[in-house]
Amino acid sequence: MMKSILDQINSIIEQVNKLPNGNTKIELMEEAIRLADVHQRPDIGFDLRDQLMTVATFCGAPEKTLVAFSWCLAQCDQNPEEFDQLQLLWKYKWVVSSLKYFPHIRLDQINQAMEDMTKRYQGCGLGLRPVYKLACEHAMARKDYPQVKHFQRLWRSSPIGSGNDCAACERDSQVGYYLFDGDIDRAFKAAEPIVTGQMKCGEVPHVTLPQLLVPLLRRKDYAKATHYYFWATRLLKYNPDFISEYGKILTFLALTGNPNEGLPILEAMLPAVMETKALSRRFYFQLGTSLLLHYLQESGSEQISIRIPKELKDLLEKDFAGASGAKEIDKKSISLQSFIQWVDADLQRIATLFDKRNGTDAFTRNIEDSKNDRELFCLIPLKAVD
Amino acid sequence: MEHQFRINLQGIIDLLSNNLYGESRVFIRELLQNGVDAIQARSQLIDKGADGSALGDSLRDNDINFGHLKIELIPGNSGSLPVLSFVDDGIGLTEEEVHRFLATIGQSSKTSNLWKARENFLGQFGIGLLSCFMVSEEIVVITRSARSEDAPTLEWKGRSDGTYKIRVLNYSIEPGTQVYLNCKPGCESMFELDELITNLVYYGGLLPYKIEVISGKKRQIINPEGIPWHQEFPSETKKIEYLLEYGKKTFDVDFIDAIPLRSKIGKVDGVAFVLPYAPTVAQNPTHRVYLKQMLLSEKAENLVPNWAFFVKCIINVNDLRPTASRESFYEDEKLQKTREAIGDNLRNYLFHLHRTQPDRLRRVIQLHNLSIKAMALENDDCFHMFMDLLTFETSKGNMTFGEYRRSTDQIRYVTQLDAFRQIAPVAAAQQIQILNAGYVYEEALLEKYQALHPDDELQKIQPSDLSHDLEDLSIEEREKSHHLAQLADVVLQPYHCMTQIRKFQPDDLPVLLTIDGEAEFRRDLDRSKEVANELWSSIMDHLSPAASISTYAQLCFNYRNPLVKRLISIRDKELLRRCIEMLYVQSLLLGHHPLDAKEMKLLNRGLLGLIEWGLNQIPMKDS
Repeated sequence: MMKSILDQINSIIEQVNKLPNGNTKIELMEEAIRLADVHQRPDIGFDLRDQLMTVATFCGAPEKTLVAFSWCLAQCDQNPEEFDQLQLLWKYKWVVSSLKYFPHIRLDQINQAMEDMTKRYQGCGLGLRPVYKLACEHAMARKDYPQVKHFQRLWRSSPIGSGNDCAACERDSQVGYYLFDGDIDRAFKAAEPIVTGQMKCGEVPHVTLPQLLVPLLRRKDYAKATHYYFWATRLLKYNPDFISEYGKILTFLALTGNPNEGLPILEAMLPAVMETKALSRRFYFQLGTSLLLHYLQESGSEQISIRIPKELKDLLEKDFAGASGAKEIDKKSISLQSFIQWVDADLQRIATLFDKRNGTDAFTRNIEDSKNDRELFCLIPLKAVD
Repeated sequence: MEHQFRINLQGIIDLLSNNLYGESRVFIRELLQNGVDAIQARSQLIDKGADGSALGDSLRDNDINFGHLKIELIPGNSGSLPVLSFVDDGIGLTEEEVHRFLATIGQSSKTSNLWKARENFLGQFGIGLLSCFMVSEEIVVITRSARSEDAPTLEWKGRSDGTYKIRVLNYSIEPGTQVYLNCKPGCESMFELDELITNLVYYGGLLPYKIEVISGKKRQIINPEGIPWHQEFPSETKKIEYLLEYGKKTFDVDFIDAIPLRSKIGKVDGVAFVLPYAPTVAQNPTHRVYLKQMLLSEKAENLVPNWAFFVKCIINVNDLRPTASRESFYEDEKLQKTREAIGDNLRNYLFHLHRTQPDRLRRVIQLHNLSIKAMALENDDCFHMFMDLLTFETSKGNMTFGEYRRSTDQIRYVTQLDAFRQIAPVAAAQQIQILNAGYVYEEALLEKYQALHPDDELQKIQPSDLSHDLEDLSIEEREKSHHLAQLADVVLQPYHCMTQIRKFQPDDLPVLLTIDGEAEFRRDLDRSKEVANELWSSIMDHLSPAASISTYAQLCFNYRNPLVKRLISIRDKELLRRCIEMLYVQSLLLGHHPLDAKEMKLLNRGLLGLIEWGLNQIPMKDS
């Protein structure tokens, strides 16, 4: 007997619930959505997309969240009796936040999205604190200092409403702001409840710890930096959602002379990095990759043995082989010089896309700043004791 | 002028009970901990001497037999509530110390200092007592120090309003400390014998000192056996049987095996129970952990490797630093090495099964396929040993990787579930074996296989690649079907679909539609764009750069199919166009792909057109 559509969907959801976050989970959700759409059940399609948004957001596929969100928002607008907008507005934050990852989305579109969010939040009495926070974060990404200050003031002074991020996420954002502002002491003070475990959620301290690594090196607090490194790597679990965070981890490993710790991370994350549509995340990852590879090269390495995605392998052989001189890329190892050239070209390419869109030089400056971080180098063997 | 705050102790207690302690039964843990610490302090006193140097003979003589905790419950009767006494024969307190521990009640109650304070007995005594105010308005402590023979017996009476009295009693007790709690209204359940015993076993069941509960004539030792995995057994089988029984008693689960754990680093030992079911891996598995034999947490999660979700562990830790939340340990190299050692224990167990009980190993792998996959990914030895035993879905049904590998010349795999579903039946019909690596860890495992076996060529395929494996047409056949191929491309171009003509089994399948991941995403995006408002529609337009070839679906006509053969013979372009459109729409529907508005229109137009065409074949009566 044919299974009813609900049975089919339920059996997919049952599988989904047993899985850790990742591509398999997303694909199964999408399959369920297609089933609902084929059978023209927008009610089921809405609930499934609502779930997909959570899975996709926390599995590093923000573009899928955005597509699902747009569909759901349209249903709410067209049929407000049947679809509850309030349920959706919580996720509006995720979607607007993710717009900064895509360099082809124009600034005016981002601003319009924020205006739309403002209107809807006001309409539902949700309070504008999260909107101001997002505006501040967008301004930080493009290093628009006056706007950062402006929105930070609004963010700080607005009351916490029911649409707000959880306390841990909000605190993490504050840490991010202080770091951006160069106020390292306040950043650490703000991070205190997070690093002592009093404030936590699904992604905090995961995202907080990596951003504290370089500041800790700056403070020469190597013991804490090492502790945070171990802690963070235990939490991040190679989740593609943490591509940027892994970039910071690679930076830390490069600055502490630990390429042997860094290469497995590079190997594990490269497929997700190559696949992601969130280009700014890829950019932050590549900043760390570049530092790590340059460190290896300066330590005398010419080849490295790591697995890389086939697509990248082809690219290195085709477009970057010349850089490695006579050395062929064999099956087991790849030329460091080619790899470096590709990473640096990739960084420059992405930086140009964002800077062009933003009308600033923020991303290009990030590349320079990252190079300057080499001054912080301090050899900390992480696997010294056996 | 300087003033001092007035601190409301009751307020602090309420705060602590709601935040720091979580639940009121922790006063039992705190009292047990105080008792254990006091006994250990007394042992150290004997080792070192009262002043830390020479040891008086008299002290030694008097201190041979101690290390006993007695908990007595005096039930309430009409009008009075029950009383609980906690008696240890540990080091006891001097008058100066009694004053000092009181001072620490406030000082050390900050969460982050808790474990630091726990490092020294006096520092934490007050913290432990503080939790008793959750169940008792008044605490009475009677104590006599073991530091000198003429130490007085002292009584301290503290109330939850923050006041206390201290006096010297005119009689002498054995060295040690007695704590008396009067049940606070509302906390009666904590003072019931069954509940008391349950809680004592829960926190202190593994403690190394005898813990005795007394109530009226009833006497019970709550930890008669000590640490289960430390006991002597006549054989390994008996030990495992005993541990499994202990696991059943503790978690009410019939585990399928018990694996002893031991790590020198962190001074850790315990037992890992193999779960009889595949657990959900959506959440982190948690384990029961004891710190120096006192229960630390039921939900500790960072002591066992991430991949080990096929076991539930009970572990005793002697030399790792817990975090303030008590649910994890401080992440550092030591913890990482401890985790690796625990990982080694689990791996060695499986290696041992591999050598001695291969059938059993197969059962474990079948049940915990996912966990073993995660493990094989992390460790090369595991990979070599288990990869061939892991089950994968293939176009010929489920089989182990070893079986699959031996049955095919080339390993071909897809990494998306949907892709596998699209091509598996067709691939099977062509005798092409395709492996589905769309589930968790599988793609990474195959990549690892490739890296470890560079001479075996593994081919990762997209659904559209399958057409390369299908039989090509001869030049003659190609010429014959040229107009179909050409028209099909033109007709389906607006729908982002490319076409090909090949020969494949089964013959009765006219077309094979394949949609790669990127193309599927474009279809989802288009469906959203159809309904989205202007703003979001335009944002989606800019989400990623212009459509590339990878966003095209692919429709492959089957030259062997009788219907397709007839299409090739049709010269009526309009009719042929309509047939192509209908085959495309039908293949979308068969593959459970929702139709977008354009495709829906195509379906309607096609159906109506075919009806009309059919009707036109029948001459109308009137004419």
